[in-house]
Amino acid sequence: MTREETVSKTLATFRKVFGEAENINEQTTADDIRAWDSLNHIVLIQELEKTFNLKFNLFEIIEIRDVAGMVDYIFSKAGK
Amino acid sequence: MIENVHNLFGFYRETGFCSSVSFTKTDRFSAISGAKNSWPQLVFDIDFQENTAQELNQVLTQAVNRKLPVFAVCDAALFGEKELDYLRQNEIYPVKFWTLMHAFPQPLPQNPNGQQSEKTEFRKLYTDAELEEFTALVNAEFAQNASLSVSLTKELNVKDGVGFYGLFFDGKLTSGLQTFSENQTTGLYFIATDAAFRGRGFATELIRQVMNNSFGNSGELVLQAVQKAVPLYRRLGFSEEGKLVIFWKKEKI
Repeated sequence: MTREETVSKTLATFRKVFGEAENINEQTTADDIRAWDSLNHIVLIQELEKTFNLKFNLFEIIEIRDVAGMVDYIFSKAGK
Repeated sequence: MIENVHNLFGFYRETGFCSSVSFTKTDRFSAISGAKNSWPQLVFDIDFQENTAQELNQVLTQAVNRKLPVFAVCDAALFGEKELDYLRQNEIYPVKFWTLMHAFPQPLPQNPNGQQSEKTEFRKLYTDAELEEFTALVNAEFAQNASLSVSLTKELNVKDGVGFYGLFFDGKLTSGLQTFSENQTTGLYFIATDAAFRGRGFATELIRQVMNNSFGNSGELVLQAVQKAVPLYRRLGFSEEGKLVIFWKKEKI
C-alpha cells in the first residue's frame, strides 16, 4: 500500500467516525475536532483496525492525536 | 509501585473527603467519584498480586457492578502486549498516559525569552473570583469526559496541604496550578495555561516560580505530565520516574 492510499483510507475512516461535516485533512489534530476525546479515540482505533485489517499496539497508538501521526503509524505497520 | 505515585493517591484520598465526592475503599482498591460528568472519576491504588490483567478486569467489573468509576489508574510497566490483549477481549482499553516526574526545588535562572516583568506576578489564589478563574482555566485545557467544579475547587482550597497558585500578567490569570503537600513531598496538579497565552513562556515561568519560591525548603516536587509537556519539565529540572496508564472499561448498554 502506498502512503497516498494510506492517507486516503485513513481520512475516510476519520470522516466515518467524526462525520463528514468536520473539515478533516492530514494537518488536523485532536484540538480541531471537538468529539475526538479519549473515548472516541478508542472507537477510531477500532475502525482503523477494521479498515486496514491490522491489530495495533494500543500503548503505541493512544498518544497519537493528529491525522499525520496516525497515517505515519499505520503506514509503518501496513505500508510494507 | 513507582515511588512518587503516593502523593497522587494521597491527593485522591483527600479529595474523597469533599462533600461533592464519594470515596470508597475495599480490600483491593480505592475509588473516588464526583457527580455525573464531574472530576474525579477514578479507581486507584489497586492491590495487584500476580496476574495484573485478570485482576484489573475483576476490579473494574466490580466497580461497574457497584456503580463506581470505570476508569483505573495503574503503573504502565505492569502491562505488556499479552495483558493488553486480555484486557481488550474484556473491553478494557488504555486511554491516556501520564509520565511521573520529580525534582528537588532549586533556584532556576530567569528565562531570557520568558515573561518576567513588572506586569507579571506569581501568587497564591485566595478569592472566590480567582478560584473560579482557575477552574475555568483547568476545564478549558483538560475537560474531556469530566470537568472540575468550582464548588470542589473552593472546598479543596480550605484543606490543609492544598493550595492554588497563579501567574498573573497585567492582572489576568495566565496560568495556574494546584498543590498537594504530604510527607515532605509536594505534588503539582492541574497545571493549566490560558490558550491565549500559550507558547509565550508563561507555564515555564509558573514552574520556575514554584521551584524558586513557594516550596524552596519543603522537599521533593512531583507531577504527572502528558507526553507533549515532558520536554518542558525536563528543561526545568524534572526527571522521569515511570509511566501511569488510565484504563477505561466500556460499559455494556
